[in-house]
Amino acid sequence: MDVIRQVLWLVHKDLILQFRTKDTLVLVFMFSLLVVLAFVFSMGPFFSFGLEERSKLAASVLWISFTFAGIITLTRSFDVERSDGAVHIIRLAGVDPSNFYISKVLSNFIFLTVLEFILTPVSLQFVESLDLVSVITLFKLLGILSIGTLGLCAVGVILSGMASTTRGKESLLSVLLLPLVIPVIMAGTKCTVSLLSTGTLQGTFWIMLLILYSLVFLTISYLLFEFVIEG
Amino acid sequence: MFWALYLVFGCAVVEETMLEVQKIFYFHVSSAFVAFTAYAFTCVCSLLYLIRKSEKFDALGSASAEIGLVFCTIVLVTGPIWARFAWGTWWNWEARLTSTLILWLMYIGYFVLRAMLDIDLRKTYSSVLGVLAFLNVPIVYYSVEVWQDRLHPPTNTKSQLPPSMTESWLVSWLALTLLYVFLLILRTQLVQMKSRIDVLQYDQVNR
Amino acid sequence: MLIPKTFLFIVMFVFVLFVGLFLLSEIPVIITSDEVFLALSESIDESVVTPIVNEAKVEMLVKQSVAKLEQRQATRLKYLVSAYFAIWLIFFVYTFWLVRMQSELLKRLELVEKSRKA
Repeated sequence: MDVIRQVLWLVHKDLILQFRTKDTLVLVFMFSLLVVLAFVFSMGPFFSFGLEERSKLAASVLWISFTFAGIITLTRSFDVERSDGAVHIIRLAGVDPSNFYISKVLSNFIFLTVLEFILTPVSLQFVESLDLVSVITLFKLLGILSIGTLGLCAVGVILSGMASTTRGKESLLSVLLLPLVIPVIMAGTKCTVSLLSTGTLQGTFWIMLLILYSLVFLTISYLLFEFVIEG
Repeated sequence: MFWALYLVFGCAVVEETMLEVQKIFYFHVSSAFVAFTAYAFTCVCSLLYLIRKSEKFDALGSASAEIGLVFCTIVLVTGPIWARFAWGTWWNWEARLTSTLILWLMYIGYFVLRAMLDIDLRKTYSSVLGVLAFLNVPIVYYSVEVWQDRLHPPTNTKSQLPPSMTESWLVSWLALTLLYVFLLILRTQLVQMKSRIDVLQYDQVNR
Repeated sequence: MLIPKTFLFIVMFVFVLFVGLFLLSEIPVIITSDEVFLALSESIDESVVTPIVNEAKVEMLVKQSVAKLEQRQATRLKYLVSAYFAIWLIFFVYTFWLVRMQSELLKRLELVEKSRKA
C-alpha cells in the first residue's frame, strides 16, 4: 500500500539520519544517563532506602529522564526538517502530512525505545533496584515504558512541529509538552512502582489509561498535523 | 454587564446556614465551571477556525482562553485559602485543585506559544494547541482522581445542599457566566481592534 | 462597548473600604455580656434539674466560651473576606488591564488615522 510504503521510507530516512551521524544518539544517551546520575547524587545513596521507597524513586528517575530525553530527541528531529526547508520539499514530493506525522512518531518512538532498552538496566543499577527485578519483570517494565513513550511521541511530535518554527524550540516544547504529558508520567510511574515492588501489575487502570491516552492523541494529532506542516 | 457585577455582589447577601467560610464555595466551584466552559468554547472555536479559517474564530478562541485563565487563577487562589481554613495546609494535592493546576499550566503554554509565533502561524498553531489541551482535560481529571491514594474528607459539594444554598450557588454561577460572556465580548473586540490596527500600521509603513 | 473607568474605580473603592473596615476594626460584638447574664439567669430559672449552686462560676465559663466563639467567627470571617478580596482583586486587575489596552489601542488608531489623512 502506498501509505505504508511512504511511511516506511520516511522512517527509514529518519533512522538512517539518526544512527549514521551518531551525534544525536550519543547526545541523548549521555543526557539521559547524566540526568539519572544527577538524581542519584541529589538523593544520596539508595541502598539505605526500603523496597517501597526504592521502587518509587527508581520509577520517577526513569520516567523523568526519559521524558527529558524525549524532548531533546523530538526537538532535534524537527530541527532537521525545518533547517533547510526540508519540510516543504517533503510536502512537494507528494507526501501526505498525516503520513509524515506517523513516520515521525514511529522514528522517534523507535529511537527512544532503543534508548530505553539500553538505559533501563543501567539506571536501575544506579538506583540499586536492579536486584529487585527478574528478567520477566524487566521486560514488562520495558513494555510499559514503550507504551508511555508512544504517548509521549504522539503528543510530542505535533507540539515539536509547532515549536520548531519559533525561537524557543526546546524550552517552548517543554512548556507545552510537560503539562500535556503529566497523565503519562502519572500512569507510567504508578505501573513501574507496582512492577518493581511486587513484580506484577496491580489493577489495569493505569495501563488502560496509557493505551487510551496514546490512542486519543495519536488520532487527533494525525488529523491535525496537516495544519502544522503548512507553516 | 453591570448587572452581572451586581449579581455577584448580591450573592454575598444571600444567607445560608453553614459556617461562613463555606461562602467561598459559591465562587470557587462556579469559577471552575466557568473556566471549563471557557476552555470548551476555545476548543470549539479552534476547531471552527481550522475548518473555516475565519479570523473571528481565532479572536473568540484566544479571548475565551484568556478569560478561562483568569477564572482558573481564581480557582487556584481561592482553593488554597479554603483549604487552609478547612484542613490547615495551603495545598494538599487534592484532586480538583491539582487538575486545575495542570489545566492552568496548559493554557499558560497556549499563550506562550501565541507570543512566540508570527501572526500567520499564530492562529493555526494556537488553535491546534487549543484542541489538544482541551482533549487532555478529561484525561487529567480522571487520572488525578485515581492518582491520589489518600482518603480525603469529601470536597464534593454536589451532594445534597439545603435549598437556600443551592439557590445562592445557582445565582453565583449565573452571575459568573454572565460576567464571562461580558468579558468575552469585550476581549474579542479588543483582539479584533488590535489586529485591524496592526494591519493598518503595517500598510502604512510599507507604503 | 467601552467601560467607563470611573465606574471601576468606584467599585474598587467601595470594596476596599468594605474590606478595610473588616480587617482593621474588630468584628462587631454580636453577643454582649449583659445578654449573657440575662440568658444565663433565665435558663437557671427555667431549669428543671437541681438548681446550679455556683452561678458566678457558670457565668464566667459562659462568658469565656462566648469569647471563644466570637474569636472563631472572627477568624472565619477573615478567611472569607480575604478570599472574596482576592477574587475581586483579580477581576479588577484584569478589567483594568483590558481598559488600559483599549485606551492604548484607541490612541494608536487615532495616530494611524491622522497619518493616513496627512
